[in-house]
Amino acid sequence: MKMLDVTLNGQIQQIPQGSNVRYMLDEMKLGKQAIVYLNGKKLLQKEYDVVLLQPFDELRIIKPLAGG
Amino acid sequence: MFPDGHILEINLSNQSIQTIDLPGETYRLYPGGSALATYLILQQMVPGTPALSPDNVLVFAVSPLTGLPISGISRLVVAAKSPLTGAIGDSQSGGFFPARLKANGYDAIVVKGKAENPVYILIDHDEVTIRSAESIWGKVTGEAEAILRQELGDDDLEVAQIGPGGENLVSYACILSMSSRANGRTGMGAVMGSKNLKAVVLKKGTRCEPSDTEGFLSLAREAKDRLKHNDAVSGLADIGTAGDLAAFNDIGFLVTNNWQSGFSGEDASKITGEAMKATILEKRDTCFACAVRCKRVVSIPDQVDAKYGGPEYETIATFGSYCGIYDLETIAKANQLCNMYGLDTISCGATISFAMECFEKGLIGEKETDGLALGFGEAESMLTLIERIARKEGAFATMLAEGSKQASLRIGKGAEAYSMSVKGEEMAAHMPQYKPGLGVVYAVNPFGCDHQSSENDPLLMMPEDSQERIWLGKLGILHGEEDSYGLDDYKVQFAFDSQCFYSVLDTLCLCQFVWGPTWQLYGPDDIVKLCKVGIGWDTSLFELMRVGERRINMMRVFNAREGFTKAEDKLPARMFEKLKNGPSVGIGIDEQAFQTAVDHYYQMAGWSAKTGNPEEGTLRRLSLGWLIQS
Repeated sequence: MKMLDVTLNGQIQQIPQGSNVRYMLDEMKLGKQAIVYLNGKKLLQKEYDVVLLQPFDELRIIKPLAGG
Repeated sequence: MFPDGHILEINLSNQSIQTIDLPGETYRLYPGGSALATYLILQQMVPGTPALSPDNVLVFAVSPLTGLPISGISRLVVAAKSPLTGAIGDSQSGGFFPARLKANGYDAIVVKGKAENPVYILIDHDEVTIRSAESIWGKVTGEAEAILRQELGDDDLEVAQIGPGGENLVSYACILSMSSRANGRTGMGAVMGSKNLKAVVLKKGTRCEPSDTEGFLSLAREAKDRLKHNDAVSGLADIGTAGDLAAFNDIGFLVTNNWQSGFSGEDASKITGEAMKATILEKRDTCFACAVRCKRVVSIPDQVDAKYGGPEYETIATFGSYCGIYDLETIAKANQLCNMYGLDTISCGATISFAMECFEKGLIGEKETDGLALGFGEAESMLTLIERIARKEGAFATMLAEGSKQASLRIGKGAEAYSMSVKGEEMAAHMPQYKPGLGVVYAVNPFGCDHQSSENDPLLMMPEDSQERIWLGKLGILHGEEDSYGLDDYKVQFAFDSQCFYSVLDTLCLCQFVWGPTWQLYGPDDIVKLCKVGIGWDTSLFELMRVGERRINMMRVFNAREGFTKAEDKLPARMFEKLKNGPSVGIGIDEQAFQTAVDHYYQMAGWSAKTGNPEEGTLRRLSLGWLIQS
């Protein structure tokens, strides 16, 4: 399996080539309740399944913390 | 047509019992829960009445929707003047008691006066009796409930009761059903205790039927499918309310050592929801008709009994990171003690953490604490102190039984700076430094710094096509944010409008984990639909938002009558200091910006810039002109 490097929340990480944003969310055990910035641009939720990650992409993924 | 309300009025002084019908046209303005309760209190309580006087008016209320078989619909409001704050008191709980109250035919119970000797109220539809509570007075909740079942020869009872904490008038005593579901905040258990009322006991009721069976069942059946596709609520079901505890710590906003820090380091990993699931969790429990099953039940052989439920996020934080204690078994014991003795876990844990800071800073020593070493992390001292507070045993515990603010005034020496409270109520475990919009509501909310009275700021960061933002858009909240720290007019509008919406939930007695404006299973449009198929109420989101706003304004008028002004709408000074360690180092709320936000909130709410209380025009707009005359 070919791997590529991306930066996730400041840390370099290797992921399989062809991975989408959803892959990263699954790795982080996050569902769709997450905020994803790809190279500084906030993605829409509908893009999580379709945007393929490229080498050296910079991802910032935030879980919005509510309460109870 | 809006259904009439059925109010049971009981005067314990003269043992009178009567049922009053509230006409549907009036009930529609105050359709249940704390709106109905506040309406009844405003009508019946003389301003200036002491909270623990027989003349305080204690109201248990549900809504016209309560008892219908759908998820998140069994919530009980208990309200009265609060002994903790002197303002309106208000609290919510789940379980089965709320549905059972409606199934017995009542929308509210109003309790006035004071019984000569301890009593409980037994309700079996129209048959209502006031009975001696001699055999259960002084008993902890689990024991009292068992005695009641045995004495009445009935295992199918629902019991809302106080423990010894309420009997002893601890200012933050709560009311419990199932010995685990608490009307926790603002000391409603003490009001009950002041009336010599130990319990309200409900016999089996009559099933509540929706007005449109087919439409209702269709909506109700959607819950399971919605749950399957909703990560937030299914996570809540799986891990419980403590599911975000680790994440709060990771970003530096887990209340630590009485709010001196937001970071507990690696210790936080020992008290997470995941850690509880892996260790002491026995099972998940539920409320009437609810598919979510978010309640935790824990047990530790010979130490913690499953009948007292399990600690939720707030309880884990207040007895855990607030107090520097990172041991789930200790926290589970503290939770059990509070549920046995009937104490609010938030105020109790926070008051003890206040005392710990006073001890560590040398304001008090073992002489003042009646021999307890009380630094942060002193688990045994904390557990001992909970029991002493409930029993008001010794001068120190008796002082802490009045809450951290009153205790700070007695200690003096600058201790007031360590009481993390608003209007005298201890702050729940959501840091305004991370959620300043919530902080504004902490400051202005009529019944104190409640964490369930508005939406959480970070949800504004969600992408535009998310359920969260689409549902907020239904409330006219359209402006998203790139981080959670802003305090501009958009944020204030978010705080105010979401507060009005949450006020609707606390009026209709809907669970905020199932019905809500963002991540929940059912959203704003669904609530309008529920009203139609549930009780035939052809309403709109506009009318419901008015209902929510009306409730807040009634509460604010109550407070104004008790002498409250904007002077009490203040956060502790510590919120404006920069955090000193961890990932949130350097973050603090800008005090000037915060005051401007509060001023803008008053403008948006139609409240006086001078007093912070509702303007006459606001009251007239909300059909509350009758309060101007009063």
